[in-house]
This record gives sequence, structure tokens and C-alpha cells, in this order.
Amino acid sequence: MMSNCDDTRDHLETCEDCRLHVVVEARMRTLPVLEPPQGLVERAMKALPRVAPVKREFFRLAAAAVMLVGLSVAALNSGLDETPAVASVKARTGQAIETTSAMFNVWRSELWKH
Amino acid sequence: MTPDIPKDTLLRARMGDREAFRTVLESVQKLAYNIAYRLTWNPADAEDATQEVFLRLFRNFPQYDPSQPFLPWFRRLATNCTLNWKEKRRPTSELPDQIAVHDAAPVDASERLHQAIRELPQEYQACVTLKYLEDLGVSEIAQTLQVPVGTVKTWLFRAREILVQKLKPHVETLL
Repeated sequence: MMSNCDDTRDHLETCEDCRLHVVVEARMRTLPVLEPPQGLVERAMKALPRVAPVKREFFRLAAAAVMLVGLSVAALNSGLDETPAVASVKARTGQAIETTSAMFNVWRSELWKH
Repeated sequence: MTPDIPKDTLLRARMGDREAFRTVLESVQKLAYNIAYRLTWNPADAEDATQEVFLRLFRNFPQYDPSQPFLPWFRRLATNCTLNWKEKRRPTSELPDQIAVHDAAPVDASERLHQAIRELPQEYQACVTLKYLEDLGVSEIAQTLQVPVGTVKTWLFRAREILVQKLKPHVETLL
């Protein structure tokens, strides 16, 4: 090991190219680490969108689900498929929509009374 | 350079908690700013690029896998985002930089070194930054830049060669 170090030192004394490599490498390691400007985080926080991406994702999923339900109901009511299974689902969906609508009307009329 | 961020804070920030996100930014701002500075070599550009990195972090946080360490993921995001930012800015910002580089008379060794690094190709600058700022190994740099290990070795070798050649006439100021 010692002779290796001596050999390296001897080589460096005579080789300008390798000496320069060592110097540049050492200089690169001592480049200063800078402090970020004051208030950087504050400014970044102010520039952020108000809706967090996770919540936005939730709204997208909800919108997609509503569209899917709407398209399914439209497909059922289009009358393209009149098999007994589809007719039964159609009837139940119709009942569910009527019940929901009736409940909503009752709730709305109660709200007006008060 | 970057303190450990508690797992719980990362998870809350990932779910959109603003206070947790602010804590994460406070922990990573020094790293993000120094990466940006060493890729732009201009304090105002570094600040703009860092803001862009923070915005990208906010948008991409849901993609972070909490079972993996956060810092390598963030380092990759910060480096790629800064490089993209620089790429978009190139048509307007390159001309004044080039003029400044050739007009300015560097006085000391650090300034000469900064100038030489600034003139390196972008991918070499990214390698040199990650190696000497973050003290990363070749495989970590390869993961960060998403290139093969051999490519990183080549880029680092060429970057050092270019720097040595450029600094050769000024060797006495470096010693």
C-alpha cells in the first residue's frame, strides 16, 4: 500500500495532466452549497393550486361514475334490447328513479313549509 | 443536506395536507435550489426553476410510492423538472448567458470553474452536479437520470476531460 502511495506521489510530481485532474476533482468537491433565498417556500405555497391533486382525482372519478350511470340508464331506455332480463332491470331502475324523485319532492315541499 | 422527513408527514402531504406539504418543502428546499442553481448558474433562474419543481412535486405527489425512499424520487423529479424548465427557456435565456460567459473576465479559480461547468453539455452538467453536490455513486446518478450506468460513466469521464482541458491554461490559479 505504502509503495502504491509513493508511486502515485512520484507520478503526480512528474505528470502535469494527472495533477490537473486531481486539482479539478478537489475543486469540484469544494463548490459551495448555497442557502435558498428567504421566503422561497412561502412564495411556492402561495402559487399552488387550491385543490389538492388527490381531491381533484376524486372529483374526476365521481364525474366519470355519474357519466357511466347516465349512459347505462340511457342504454336501458333506448329500447335496443328488449329481453326479459333487460326489461326487469329497466323496470327496477324506473322504480328507483321514481322513488328518489318522490323523496326529493317531499323533502323540497317540507323545506318550503319551514 | 436534507434532513429525514417523517413517514407520517410524507403520507399526509401525499394526501393533500398543505401544512405537511409545507414541512416537506422546508426540508427539501436547499437540495432543490442547489440542483437548480448548478444547472442554471443564475440565482433568479434557480429560484424560478425551484418554484417549478415545487409545483411539479405538488401535482405528482400522489404518484410517489410510500414504500420507497422519498429522497431519490424527489431528486429525480427535481433534476428532470429543472432540465425541462431549462429546455423550455433556452430560446430566450441562452443568448444573454452566452454573451455573459464570453464577455466576463473570470478573476478567480472558482469563477473559472463555474464558467467551465456552465459551458458543458446539459447532461454532463447534471451528472457533475449529482456527483459533486450530492456525492452520489454512478448507479444512483443513472437511476436519477434514468440512463444506463455506462452512459453516466462516459458522461462523467468526458465532463472531467473537458474541464481539465479548459482549465489547463489557468492551472496556477487553481492550486
